[in-house]
Amino acid sequence: MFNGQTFESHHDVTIAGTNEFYEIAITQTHNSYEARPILHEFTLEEFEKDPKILLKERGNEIAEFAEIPWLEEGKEAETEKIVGPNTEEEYRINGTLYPNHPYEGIKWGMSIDLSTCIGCGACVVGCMAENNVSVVGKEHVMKSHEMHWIRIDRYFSGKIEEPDTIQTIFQPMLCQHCDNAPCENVCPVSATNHSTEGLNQMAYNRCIGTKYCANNCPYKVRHFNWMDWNGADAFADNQFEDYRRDDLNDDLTRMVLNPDVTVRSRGVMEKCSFCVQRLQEGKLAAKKAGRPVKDGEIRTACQQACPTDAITFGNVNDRGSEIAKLRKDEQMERTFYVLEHIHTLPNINYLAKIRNADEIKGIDEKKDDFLKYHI
Amino acid sequence: MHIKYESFVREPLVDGNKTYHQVSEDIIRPIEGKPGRMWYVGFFFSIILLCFGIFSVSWSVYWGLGTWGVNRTVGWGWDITNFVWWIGIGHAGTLISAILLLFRQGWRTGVNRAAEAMTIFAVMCAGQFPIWHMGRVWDGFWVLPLPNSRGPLWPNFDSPLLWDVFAISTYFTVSLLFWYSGLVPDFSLIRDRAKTKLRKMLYGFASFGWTGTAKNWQRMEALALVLAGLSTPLVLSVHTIVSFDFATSVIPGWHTTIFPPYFVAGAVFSGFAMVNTLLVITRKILHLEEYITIGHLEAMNKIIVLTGSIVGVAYLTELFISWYSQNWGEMAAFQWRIMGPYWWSYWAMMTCNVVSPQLFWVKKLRRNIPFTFVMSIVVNIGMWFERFVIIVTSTYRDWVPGSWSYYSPTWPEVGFYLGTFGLFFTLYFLFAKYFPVIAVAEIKFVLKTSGDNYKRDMERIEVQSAEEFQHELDAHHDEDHHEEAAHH
Repeated sequence: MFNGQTFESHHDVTIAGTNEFYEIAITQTHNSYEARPILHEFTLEEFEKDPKILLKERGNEIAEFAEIPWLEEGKEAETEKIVGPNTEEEYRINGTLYPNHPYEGIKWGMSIDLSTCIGCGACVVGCMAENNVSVVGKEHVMKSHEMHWIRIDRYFSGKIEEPDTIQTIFQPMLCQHCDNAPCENVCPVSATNHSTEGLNQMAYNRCIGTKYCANNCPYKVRHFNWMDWNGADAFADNQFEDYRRDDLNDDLTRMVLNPDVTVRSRGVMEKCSFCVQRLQEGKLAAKKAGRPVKDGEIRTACQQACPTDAITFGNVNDRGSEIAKLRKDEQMERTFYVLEHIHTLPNINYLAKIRNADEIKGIDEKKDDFLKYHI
Repeated sequence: MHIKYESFVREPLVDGNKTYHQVSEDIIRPIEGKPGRMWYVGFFFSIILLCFGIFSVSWSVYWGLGTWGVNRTVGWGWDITNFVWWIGIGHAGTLISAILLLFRQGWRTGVNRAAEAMTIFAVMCAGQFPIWHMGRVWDGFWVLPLPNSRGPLWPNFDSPLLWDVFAISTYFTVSLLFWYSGLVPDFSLIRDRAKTKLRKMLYGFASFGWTGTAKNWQRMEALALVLAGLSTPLVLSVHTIVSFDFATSVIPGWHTTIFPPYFVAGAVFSGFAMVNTLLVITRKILHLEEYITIGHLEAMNKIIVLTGSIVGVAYLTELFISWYSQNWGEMAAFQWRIMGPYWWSYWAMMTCNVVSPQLFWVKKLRRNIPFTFVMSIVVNIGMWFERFVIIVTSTYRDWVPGSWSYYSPTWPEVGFYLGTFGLFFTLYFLFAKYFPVIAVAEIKFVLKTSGDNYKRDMERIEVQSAEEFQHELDAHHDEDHHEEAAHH
C-alpha cells in the first residue's frame, strides 16, 4: 500500500496481554511542582490587571532581608513589600553576615523564559554534544544516575481524568551559578569554587568525589561520574587494545568528542560550566582584536540549540547587553530567581510563564489532582 | 539494719568473696588459657564477615560507586548513615572513662575497659565509610593539610567535612592513648604472671617497663586526669562536628540549629546501648558476672532512658519548629519525612528510640538482663534509622520536585556495612582474648570500699557505738604509721 510517501505492508496482527511488567526508565519521577514558588505562572488577565504581582510575591520572600531593620526604624509598618530596582542588590548585601564580593569585570548571566520554552529538549542534546556529557544507559537512568548538565523539569497540573484540563509547564534546570553557592563552601578540597566572572566552576582534577556538593545543591544539578561511562579510565579497560573494550581510547571513537572539553573520569563531580570553553575562546578572540567582548558574540550550546530563543545569555555588567536590559527593564516584572529566599544568589533568572488561559491550576488543590494525590 | 557508716543506696560494685589476688585470677585467667569453643566460632564468623566487607568495598572501588544505590538526589545513603551510626556508638567509651572519671563515679570501673575498646573499634569502623564513599579514594589524602607540591594547594577549611577529619582523628588518637595508658599496669600484671617466654616478652614490651612503684602510679593518675580533661570536650565536640555536616547545609531537614545537642545525646544513647549489648555477652562468656553486676547494667540503663528522652524531645522540637517557621520548604520536608514513601523509617525510629526506652522507668525491667539485652539492640536499630531518616529522607524530596528520587541500597553497600561488623567483632574477639576486659587495677582500687565482702564486713562495725568505732579507726591509723615507719 502506497501512503503517498512510502510503501507500507501489513500483516495480520493480534494483540494479547502478557501479564508481564516492562520497566521504563525516566529521569523525572514526580510530576507536580507542589504549588511551590520555584516557578511562577499567571494568566494573561491577572498579569495585565496587576503587572507587579510577581514583584510583590518576591517582595514577600526577600524584601525584609534586603533592609537592615535595626537601622531603619518604622519600616516594619510598611504593609506592602515589593521588589524595587535596588532590592536585589540590597538583599545581596544585607541578607548575609559575610562581606559582599564585588564583580567588576564581566559577570555572566542567563535568563530563561518559561513562556517561550516548549520543552523540546534541544538544549539538553546540544549541551551533551558540546560538553562531552556521558550517556549512561537504561540501567543507570533507572538508578537516577543520568549526567545531563541541563534537564527540563516538566510539571503537570489539572484533572487526571480530563486530559483537556491539564496544564504543563517546562522549567529548564541547570547549574544556577550561585554567587553564594552552597556547594562551594562544603567541598573539603575546594574542587568547586567561584570565578571572578561569577561562574561556579569545577576543577575535575581536584575532586575526590565526596558528593557533599551535590547533596547541598538546592537545585540538584550536580552529576557524579558513578561509573567509568566511556571506558576511558577503568583499571581493566585501559589494558586492552582489541577494539572492543577500549572505546574512547582509540582515535576514531575519540572524534565523537569535543576536543575543547575535558572528558571527566570516574569518581568526580561535574555540572554545567556555562560553556566556559566558549567564553574563553570568545574573550581571547576579542582580546586579539583589541576590543571588549560584544554582546551576543558568545552563545552557550543550550542557547544556540533553543528553537524558540527562550535562553538569553550575556554579560550583566554590560548595561547595553540584552540580558541586562531584560532583567532591569524589559522583563523586570516577569523576572524571578529560583529559591531566591535562601540567598544562593543565582546568576540564572527565569521569566514567569504567562498563560492564555482562564485559570492557573497548579496552585489550587481543588483544580489539580496532581497536587491532591501527590503522595 | 543499722546504717550508720554505710550507704544503703550504693550496692556493691564487686560481688562475691574477692581478695586482690582473686580479682587478678578471675580477670587474667582467660588470657592465659586457651579460648573456648564459642570464641573460635564467633571469631571465625567475624572473619568471614570482614572478608565479605573487603570484597564488597573492592567491588565498588574497582567498578565505581555506580554499583551503589545512591544517586543524583540522594548523594549519601547507607554509607554516611553507617558512618554516623558507628561514630555515635563510639561515644560511650570516652564518656564512661573521661566524664565519669571526673565525676568520680566508681561504677565505671567494671565497664570502662570494654567500653573504651568498643569506642576505638567503633571509630575504626566509622572511619571506613567516609574513606570508601569517595569517588576517587586514591586521592583522598588531599583532605590532609600537608605541605605539598600541588601549588601548594590546601584543603578548604570552610568545609564541615574537613572539620570531621580533624575531629575524628583527634578523638581516635586521644581515646587510644587513654585506653592504652589504663592498660599498662594490667599488662605488667600479665607479664609478672607469665609462664611462657613469649608472653613475658610481648606483655613486657606492652607494659613499658611498669614496676608498680608509687611514682609509676602517681604519673599514671596524673596522665589519666589530663587525658580525661582532654577527652571530655571531645565527647561533646565530635558528634557536634559530625552534625555540622548537616546543620550548615541549606537542605530542609538538615539545616537545623538543634543538631549538635541532639546528635550528642543520640550518640551517648546508642553508645550505651552497644556497651550493654557487649557486656551482657562478655560477662556471660567470660564468667564475669561478679564484676559486671546487674547494678552496672542498671546504671547504664538509667543513662539510656535519660538520653532517649532527650532525643525524643529533640524529635518533637524539630516537628514543632518546622511548623512554627511557616517556611514551605521546612514544612514540606517534615511532611514527606513522616508521611512520604519512607514513612516506615520515621516510625521505626520513633518506636525504637522514643517509646520503647521509656520502659526503663520500671526498675524491674532495668534490672532484667534479657530485657536489657533486647532493648540494647532495639535502641541501636532505632538509632540507625534516625541517621537514615536524617540523611535520606531530607534529600530524597528536597526543594525542587523535578529532581526527586528514591533510594534503596545495593548489595555492595549492605556488604560494606556487614563488613564493618566483621571488623568490629574481629577486633573485639581479639581484645577479649588478649587484653584484660576489665580494668584489674581499677577494680582493686574500689574493692575495699565497694566490694560485697568488705561491705558485709561493715555489719560488725555498724553495731558499734560511735566511740568504739573512732577508737578502732585510731588504732588502724597508728598501725599504718608503725608499718610505714618499719618500712623505712
